[in-house]
Amino acid sequence: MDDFSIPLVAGDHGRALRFTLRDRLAAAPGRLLNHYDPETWAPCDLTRVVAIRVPVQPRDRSRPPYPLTAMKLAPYTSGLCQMIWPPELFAVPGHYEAEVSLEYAGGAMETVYGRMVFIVKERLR
Amino acid sequence: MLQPTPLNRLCLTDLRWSDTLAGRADEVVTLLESLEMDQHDRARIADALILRVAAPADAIGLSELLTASLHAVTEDAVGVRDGVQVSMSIRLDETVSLTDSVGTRRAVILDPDTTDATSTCMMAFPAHDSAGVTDSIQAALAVAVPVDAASFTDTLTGELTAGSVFGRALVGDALLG
Repeated sequence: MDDFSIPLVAGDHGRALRFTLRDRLAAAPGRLLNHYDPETWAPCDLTRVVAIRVPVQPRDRSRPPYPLTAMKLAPYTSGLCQMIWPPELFAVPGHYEAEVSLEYAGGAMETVYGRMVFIVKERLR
Repeated sequence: MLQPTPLNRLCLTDLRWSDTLAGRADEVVTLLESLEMDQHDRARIADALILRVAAPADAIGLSELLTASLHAVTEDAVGVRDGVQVSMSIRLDETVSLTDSVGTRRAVILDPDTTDATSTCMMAFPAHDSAGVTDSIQAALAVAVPVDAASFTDTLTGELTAGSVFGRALVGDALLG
């Protein structure tokens, strides 16, 4: 359930982040489940997910969460997602937390416990 | 004393960087400009043009994705627009199939609620229909929101030229290989 550190320089937005959502309680096809080896976890089937919400907020909570969303990539059974963000989101140096939640039809939510932590360094001028 | 609890099942793995269009925007803009300027120069166009429009800040629905990514509607029609963050109340409720004047299917916009296009808008334009790309997009937006056709075309053309429209879009491999 560790957080993920993502180093950035302020204002960077030239690349996307990809990640795979997995179910650590289910074995990937043909694999023996090992709770400590993500390679053995089954990819989440995102077919019925209507939105992947990734709110981003400064760690000091000095600003309200920014309502970022990620997109799921085909095939949706792969659990593969991708997110991009506007340049202004990480324009100010600091630490930002992002939380990934799956929203299903009807509004049910399921959230990844571990967060992404964007460590944004000042840009030299 | 606390007892061990079942593990949270959902985990984020394989975090890695990926290319976006940001570094290739000029390439795409050039291509799309060629569609505008040389509409009959079909040899210059790939077999299929597939634009995967990435979800902007708070978009969920297909019309939101399409409209926000193209930046092709007025603020009056959309509501709030702040940079790339678009808030809309208009949603498409059913699959939209677009046809041209002779009945050829030109683009299919998948319904986010019934198919596998929840947060991805895919528009495929056959090469021989290249002249209608703008028309198709315009038609799609006309379904999504009431847009003045002339101003839309101006907006689209202007933003393509400026390279701002697709700066946050992702382009399928079919286009750029």
